Amino acid sequence: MATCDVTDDARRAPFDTFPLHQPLVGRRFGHGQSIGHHGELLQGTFEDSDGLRHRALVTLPLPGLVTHAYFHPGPGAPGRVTVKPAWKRKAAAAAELILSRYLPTASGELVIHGAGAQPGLGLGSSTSDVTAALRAVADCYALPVTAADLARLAVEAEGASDSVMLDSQVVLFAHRCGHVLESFNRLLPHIVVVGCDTDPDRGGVDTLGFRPPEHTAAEIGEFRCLLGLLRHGLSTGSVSLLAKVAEASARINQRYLPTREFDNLSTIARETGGLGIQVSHSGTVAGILFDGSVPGAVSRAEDCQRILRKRGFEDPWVFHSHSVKDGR
Amino acid sequence: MKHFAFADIGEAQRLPRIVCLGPRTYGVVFSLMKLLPAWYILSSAAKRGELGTDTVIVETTSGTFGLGLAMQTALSGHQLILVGDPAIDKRLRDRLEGMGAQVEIVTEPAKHGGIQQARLDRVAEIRAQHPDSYCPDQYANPDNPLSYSYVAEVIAESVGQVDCLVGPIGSGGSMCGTTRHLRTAFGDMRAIAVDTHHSVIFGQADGHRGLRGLGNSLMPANVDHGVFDEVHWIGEADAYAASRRLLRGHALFTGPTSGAAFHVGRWWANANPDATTVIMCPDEGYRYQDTVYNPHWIAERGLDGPVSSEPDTVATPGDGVGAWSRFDWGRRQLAEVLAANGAR
Repeated sequence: MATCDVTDDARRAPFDTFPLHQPLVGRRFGHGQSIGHHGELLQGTFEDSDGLRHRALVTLPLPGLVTHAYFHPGPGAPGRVTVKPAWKRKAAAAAELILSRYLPTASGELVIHGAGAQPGLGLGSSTSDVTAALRAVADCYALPVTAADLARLAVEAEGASDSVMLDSQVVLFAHRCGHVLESFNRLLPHIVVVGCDTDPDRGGVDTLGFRPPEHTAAEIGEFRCLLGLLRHGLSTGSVSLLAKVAEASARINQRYLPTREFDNLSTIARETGGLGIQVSHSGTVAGILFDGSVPGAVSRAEDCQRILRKRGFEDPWVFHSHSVKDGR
Repeated sequence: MKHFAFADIGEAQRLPRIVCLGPRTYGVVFSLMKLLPAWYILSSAAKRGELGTDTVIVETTSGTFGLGLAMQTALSGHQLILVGDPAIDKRLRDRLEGMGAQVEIVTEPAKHGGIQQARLDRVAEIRAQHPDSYCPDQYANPDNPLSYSYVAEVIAESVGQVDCLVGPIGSGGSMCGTTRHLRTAFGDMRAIAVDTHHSVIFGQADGHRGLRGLGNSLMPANVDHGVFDEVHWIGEADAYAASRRLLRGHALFTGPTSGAAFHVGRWWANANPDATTVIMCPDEGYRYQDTVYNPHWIAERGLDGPVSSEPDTVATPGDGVGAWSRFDWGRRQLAEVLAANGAR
């Protein structure tokens, strides 16, 4: 499969070492934060205008799941970063990566206040940690890091990443090389999501151990059609069409990483007035989508939540595709 | 609106324009629909290593697929040999040859299998003379229906929800391919095939077909009968009159297969005003100026009578001859339909 080379892409300018006349120790500390996500609205293999194929996805953000990171510059071996809690090694590695690019002699300590999402569910816990860590270091030294730089660094640190570093922008994101294939220039309409962990006993999926799917030509054709429909759904603000895209994408990918209870969830969505279902294509969470602009959407979603609980889904949750403080 | 320069005319004309033809009714308007499968089949074969720069391309068509191939090979520099029908019109032949294609006409039917078999035999002979040759085989090549994912993308992006897709059927590529891809998202979408009397595709006996460009006297492997909800058989007079209505009412200058699809599509859209109907319009009208668009030619043949306003719903495909007919196919395979009719 023709695809972009992660490392070459990420090592291009603008990652020249930061000018040395800048102070080595910046502010007392730097802060960064990142939202989580709830899997994807669309994930598959897409062709760019040159016919090259890329694995890419459109993230469903989870704005209420916020991770904070604090970077405290301090003494230590040059380029080394310690982290609390100590198991957040990916975040520390990301901090070391950005230092190696801009300030190779700096060191310090990273403190992550995670949102508590369990890794492997598909809620983007590690991408959030990594993004927050990168932003904390950038904030500390006022590094000139763009969202595109963050995306490439996050992918290099993690191997694959959702597009949470781009915040509320809706993009088709090549999650294994860190670049934006298409920017839709639209915000998501208001979606109310009833989420659940479809397989709590599994304890999540090892995101990087999971072999990425080799989609067939027929499936690539289906993704092409779904991408067209996604563009229409975004430009008209149609949650109904976006939900059709999400469910169709999830259905195609069932061959590669099946979601337990997929058909069951799809049936419950229909019974409760949900417009479709969405899954994490690399985890075990899934969601039933409702149109937030329809009066009574929240109470319908809560009814759906009750029914899920009654059918044996543990602790389903309800969230909105954007936070209330966005003022939308 | 983004504007940019296309790499060539093939790229510029490959995709259709979506044009509103009435309330919740859209035409998928192509300059030359077959350009898309011609491009996709050749580029996929090249990617797989089946088509090198010196490979000779041989195909049995002198219709619009031949034109699509000739445009692609004029651009790529490949040698193209088309084995065709004596009925080929001179303007088309001149245009094909003007793009460097060699056109061979086979006139003598084979001992077994008639003229179609004679043409296939000739293709085999030509390929034997050119060891490095490639036959696109639009009737059986799965890349033909696959190429229509690009059309499904354009429709989905422009229209959104699609409730019914109506289009002419000949090779099975456009209708089966577009339907399958749109159904990825719209599983309930209705698919209506527009065929013509005495075409074998949906179980009628082979015979003379006045309306050309759709239907078939052989069964193409690319026809997936199971995607269709409904089949219509339509004749020359209705298709030509509908083509002229497209010109008069919508300034849309198309071939008669577009007229046939419009005739059926408009009827369905009128009966289902809450649904979104999409109608495939495969080519332009230039080849038909002396026929479909010539009032004398139409009158001489007695094709200027009143058009049918309603189809007859028939109980078996075999009953659908003579007038505009429709049959509830019900997404069945051909054998199932024929078995059900045999048991009647």
